[in-house]
Amino acid sequence: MGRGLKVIVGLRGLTMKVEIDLDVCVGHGKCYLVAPEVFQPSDDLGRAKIVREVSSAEADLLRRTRNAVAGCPEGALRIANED
Amino acid sequence: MSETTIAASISNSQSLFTHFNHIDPPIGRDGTPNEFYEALRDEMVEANRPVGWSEAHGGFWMVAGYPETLEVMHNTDAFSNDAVTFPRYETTEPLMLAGQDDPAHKRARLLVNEPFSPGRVMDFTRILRESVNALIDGFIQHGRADVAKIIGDPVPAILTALILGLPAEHGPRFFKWTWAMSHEFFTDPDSAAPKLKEMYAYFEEVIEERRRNPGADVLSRVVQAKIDGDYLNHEELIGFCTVLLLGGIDNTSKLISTSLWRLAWDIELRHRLTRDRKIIPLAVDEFLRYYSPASVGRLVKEDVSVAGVPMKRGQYVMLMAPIANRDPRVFPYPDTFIADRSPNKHLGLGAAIHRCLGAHVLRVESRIVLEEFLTRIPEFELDRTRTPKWTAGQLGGMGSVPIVFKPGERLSQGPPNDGVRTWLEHAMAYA
Repeated sequence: MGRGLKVIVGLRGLTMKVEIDLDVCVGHGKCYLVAPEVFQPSDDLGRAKIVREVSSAEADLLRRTRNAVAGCPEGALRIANED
Repeated sequence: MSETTIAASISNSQSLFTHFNHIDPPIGRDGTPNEFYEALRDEMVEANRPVGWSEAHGGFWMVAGYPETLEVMHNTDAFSNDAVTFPRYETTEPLMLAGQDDPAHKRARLLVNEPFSPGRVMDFTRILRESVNALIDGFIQHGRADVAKIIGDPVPAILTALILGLPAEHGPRFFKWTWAMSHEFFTDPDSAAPKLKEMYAYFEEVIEERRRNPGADVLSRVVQAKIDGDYLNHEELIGFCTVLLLGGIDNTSKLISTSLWRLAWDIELRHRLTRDRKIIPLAVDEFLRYYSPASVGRLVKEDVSVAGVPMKRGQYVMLMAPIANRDPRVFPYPDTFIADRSPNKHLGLGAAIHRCLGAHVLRVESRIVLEEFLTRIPEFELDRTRTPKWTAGQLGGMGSVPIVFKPGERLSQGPPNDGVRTWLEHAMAYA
């Protein structure tokens, strides 16, 4: 699914939007380690906030953002426009 | 247990889980327990058995699979942190934070989250860089050093002192007490006891002092805090001091020492990190996955089953991070060290409500040590006349890493600060 969608995102010039569930996030901080452009620490727990979307033109950031979503040990992150 | 006996016990079709003692795991050819962890993991995969039973320490469940470990960490209804250290560290006060369950844990944690948040931790980067360089200045002209003793041990002790608002020159004492709590008590309780007594007396004095002259440090914050309208009692305050000391020093010193040990012989990795500084933060997380120092225990609060294995109330459970972090269901090429592995959802720092409070501290600490060390001493190797030593225990990692290198020049001609000076004297006494 991921690969197919990448193509669609590329073709249509869409942006990727990430969502975070703050009830699930406990502040591992792995997302802002991997993609600091998109995720930043937001509170005393080190929970993340999402500061921007990623455009299909940003191949490297797109890849890292996907890795950040896949790498969340709590499963607190999801790609919003990829269902 | 040697490599041949590992193989022998498999061929006897006896489970490797049966006599597994997490306090003293068998050391393999590489000098770490990883070979044994990988053999256990292989057994888990082949027998499809992510949970096993060990007869050691009166018997306990060993959870080796990744999803199962995460499940136990999240199920705080059935699993209590009352047995986070197993066998228990001999402290008379309650183990605050790590040893507590919600709601008490949550109240305690809320008190100390802020000073350990990513933003606040960055305040310490300058002094960390200075301290690391001053420590390196202490031995760079000699061309040899035990970098576990002179980098891995001091850096976390110095930083923990700074965060707690304690004099950094007391670092060697903090390290000694941490050692007494986490290791010595099990091997030589008679020699650990007076050290713990000394530690309690020290913290009693600190607490009194903070009551009279509160500052902006963590301990002042804890001393002045009220939980549900009450100040923390004496045991709780002492408990905070000891847990912050344990959490701040022991794990991180092992992580840093093990990382430097790996870099001493893994030339390709060392050159890659030297060439491409950007991946150092990812490499720190891979060190955490590959050489996770900490494994944590749980006490079963109510009958529950994990991966179809029924566990009874009152039984003990060990969550083995280094094994879960090698679960092929989650990590491709789990036995390969991949410096820029991503995603890397390792459990080296735990998960759920008890995820390591100092996660952001130790990342910054490890990153700065690696950056500065590789800048000052880009080429080094293990000293063949001596042997690196793995320190086993509930927290495992390299305890001695003798290296040799081409002598270099000091960076600063002036005397080091007091924190660094006492460590240099302390480490030289062991050299």
